[in-house]
Amino acid sequence: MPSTIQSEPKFHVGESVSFEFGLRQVRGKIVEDRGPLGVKGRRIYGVQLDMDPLESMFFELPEDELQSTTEADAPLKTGEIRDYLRNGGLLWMLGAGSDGSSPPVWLRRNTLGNVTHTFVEERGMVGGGPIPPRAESGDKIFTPLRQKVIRFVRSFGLSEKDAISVVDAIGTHP
Amino acid sequence: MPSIAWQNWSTDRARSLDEIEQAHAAVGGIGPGRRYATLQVNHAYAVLLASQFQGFCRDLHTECGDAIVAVIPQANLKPLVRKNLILHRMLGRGNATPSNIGADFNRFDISFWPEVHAHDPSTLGMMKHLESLNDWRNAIAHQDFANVGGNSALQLQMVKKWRKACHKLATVFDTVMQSYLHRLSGVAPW
Repeated sequence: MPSTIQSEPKFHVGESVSFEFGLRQVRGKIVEDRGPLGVKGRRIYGVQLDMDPLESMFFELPEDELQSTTEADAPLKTGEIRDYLRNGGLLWMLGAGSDGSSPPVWLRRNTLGNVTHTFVEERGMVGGGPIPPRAESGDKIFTPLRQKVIRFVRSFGLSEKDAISVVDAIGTHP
Repeated sequence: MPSIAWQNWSTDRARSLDEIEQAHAAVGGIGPGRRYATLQVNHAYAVLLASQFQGFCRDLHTECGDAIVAVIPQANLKPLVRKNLILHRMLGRGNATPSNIGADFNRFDISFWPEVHAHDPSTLGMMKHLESLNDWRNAIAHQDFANVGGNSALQLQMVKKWRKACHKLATVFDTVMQSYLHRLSGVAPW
């Protein structure tokens, strides 16, 4: 006699869900329905938690620890974008072009609601411009590519004045 | 009170790094022979720095795991949790890159790098230095400098900058994990 009763899945692949991750409530995406593998037949889901720009994490969580969510990230504010780029975000992105490649990059919110960047278009909120290749020199911007980097910074919706202030704050070399 | 890992970082590990920095100063002369010798010392310094920082990160990870295991009430569950916290740990077999560090510390149910950046935004820039250090560490270890500009020349100033970044990161990691584990378990981890 079966000890479990199979129920209809509450969530479906592709759906956004929220769950507790340590001391925070975070949002992930259902990537797999593992079926009633849990204790007393509770349904288990494969959930992806994006950790842009680093590798995503994958969990297996029971249905009763997930909540459906349609909450969208708040739009990125100019000040937040400016601070992120100025405090290391721009150099981090430019680093991805140090081998001569020029991937497109977007900005989005991370699991704490702060600004981060992503190379995955579907997760991006603003941007999409290609990274200027070989545009960083040490921990500064390569002087000959200063204008190109300013244009790149503007692709995140900043004004010319704000883009110049970001680049000037980081500095150029040589 | 900082973790044992941080205390070792700022004493024993720092001491071994200071010794190699002093070796650089001890290389005398002004000819090309000196330039070659100091380059070798700089290479050795970079590799040692990468390994000492990896050692710190692994130590801190172990200390965090032990702090979690300590508060589990059922004694027979402790070995199970402990093993799984360190099973296939990236820091045990790979470099202390931002990716590997994040992967291992995220096991504690923390968005590690976002928490580190939220605590101190300057750590965004420090990550860049850490990536650069690891690129050079690999280049020196494999004697293949294609990924670092094709030139083996490494200045002492650059290594000192990396060391400063590693120290900053070590301090923030210690603070963030201490605070997080305290909130999680209700017990100060160290």
